[in-house]
Amino acid sequence: MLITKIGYAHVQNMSNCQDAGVETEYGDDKFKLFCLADGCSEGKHSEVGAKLFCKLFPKYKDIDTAFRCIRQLFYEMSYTDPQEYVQTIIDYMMFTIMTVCESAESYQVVVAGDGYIITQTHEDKLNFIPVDQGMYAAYYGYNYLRGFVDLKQYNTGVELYSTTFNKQDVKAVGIASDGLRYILGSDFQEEFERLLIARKEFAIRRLINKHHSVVKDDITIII
Amino acid sequence: MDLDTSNDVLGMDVVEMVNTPIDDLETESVDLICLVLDKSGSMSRFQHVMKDCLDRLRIALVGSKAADEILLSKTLFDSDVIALSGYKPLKEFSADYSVGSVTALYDAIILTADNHLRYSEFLRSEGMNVKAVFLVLTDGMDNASRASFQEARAKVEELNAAEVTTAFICFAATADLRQQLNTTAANLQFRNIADASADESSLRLIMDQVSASVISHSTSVVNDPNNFFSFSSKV
Repeated sequence: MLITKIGYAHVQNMSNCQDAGVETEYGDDKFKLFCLADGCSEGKHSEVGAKLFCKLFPKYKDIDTAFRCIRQLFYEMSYTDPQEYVQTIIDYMMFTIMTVCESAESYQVVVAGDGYIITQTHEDKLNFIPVDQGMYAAYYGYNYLRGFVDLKQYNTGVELYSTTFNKQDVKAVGIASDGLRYILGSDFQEEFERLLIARKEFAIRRLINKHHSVVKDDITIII
Repeated sequence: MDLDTSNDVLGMDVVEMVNTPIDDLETESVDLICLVLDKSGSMSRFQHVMKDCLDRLRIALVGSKAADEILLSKTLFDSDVIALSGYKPLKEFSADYSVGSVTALYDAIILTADNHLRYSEFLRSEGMNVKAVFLVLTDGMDNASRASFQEARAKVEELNAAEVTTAFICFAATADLRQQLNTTAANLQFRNIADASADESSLRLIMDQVSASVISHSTSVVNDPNNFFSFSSKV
C-alpha cells in the first residue's frame, strides 16, 4: 500500500508535493521492494529528483547506482559550467531516501536522511521508529557536492544507515516520510493505526483529507 | 419522502442508507451523476428506448477512465416521486424505466437535490473530493407538483452555488413546447440546456451526448459548469 499526500503548508504556499514513492516486487518470490524520497523544501525542484529516483531505484536496487544515473543526466546538461552543475544538484538532488527490501528471512531498511520505520508485529501492534541522522538532514546528494561547497559536518560524506528486521519478529515493515510526525500524537492517531493495520488505503487518504490542516508536511507511507 | 439525517443508525449516517456507505467507496474522489427523468404517461412510447439508453450510458461510463469514481443516482418522476435510487456505483445501477401518469417536475427536482446536497456534504465532511452533475430530462411542463416553481428555482440556485453542474434536456414533441421548456429551464436557473425532438433517434443521440459529457466531466480536473453539452459523442 502506497499513499502520498501533499502537506497543508505546501497547498497554502502553492508549492508542489515534494514526496515521491514506489512500491513494487522483485524475483520469482515477488519479494517487496519499497522506496520513498522526501525532497528538501528549499530545493527548487527537489520533487523532480525525488520522482526520478523512485522511478529508477527498482531497476538497480542500489541507492548509489540510481543516484549516479540521475546525476549523470544533470552533469551532461551542464558539464561546461561547474557552478551550474553545483546549482543543479542543489535544486534537484536534495532529498532524503528510505528503502525496504524483503528477502526470505528478513526486511532490510536503508536510509539516507530521516523518516520513520514502521514495524507491525505478529500480534498486529504497530511501532513507529524515528530515524534521524543529524541536526541537519543528511541528503545523499551532498556526496556529489564534496569539494565544490562547504558542507560542514557532511564534508566527509553522507553514509547510509542500514538495519534489518527478522521475519520471526515482525509481520511487516514499512517506511514513512517525516510528515508522519503530524499524525503521531494527534487525536486521530488511533483511527489511523486501525486503518493502517487493515490496509484501508482510501480510508486513510480520506482521514488525512479530513484533518488536512493538521498534516502540514507532505507525507508518504509505504507498507 | 423526507430524509432525516439527524441520527446515526447502526454506526452509519442515515444519508448512507439511501446512498452508498462511505466505507464501501474505494476512492477519495467522486463524481455524483444525478439523473432526474420524466416517466409521465407521455413518455410511454419511449419506455424501451429509454431503458436501452440507460444501459448504454452505464456501459459507456464503466469503460471510462474514472469509472471507479462515478456514482449514479436515478429519479423517475410522474405525479409521485417514488423512484429515487440514491447514489450507487456503476455496477449496481439499474437501467429500469417504467412510465406513470402526470408530471411532478418541481417535486422531483427538490427531493432529488435535497438527497444530493445531504450526501455530498456528508462525503466532504468525511474527506472526499466531490464533483457533481444534476441532469433533468422532461417532455412536458409541470402539472402535478406540490412544490412551487419558486421553490424549485431556489433549489437549483442552491445546486449552482454548490458548484454542481446543472443540466436540463427539453425532450419536446412540438416547437411551441420546446420553447416553453427552454424558457422554464432557463428561469429555473439551469446552466446547461439542450433540446431533443421527442422521437427515438433523438433520444438515443441526446443520451449518447450525456455519456460523452459525463465521461469528460469525470476525467477533467477543471470543469466549466456552463459547457456540459459541449463534448462530442463517439456515436
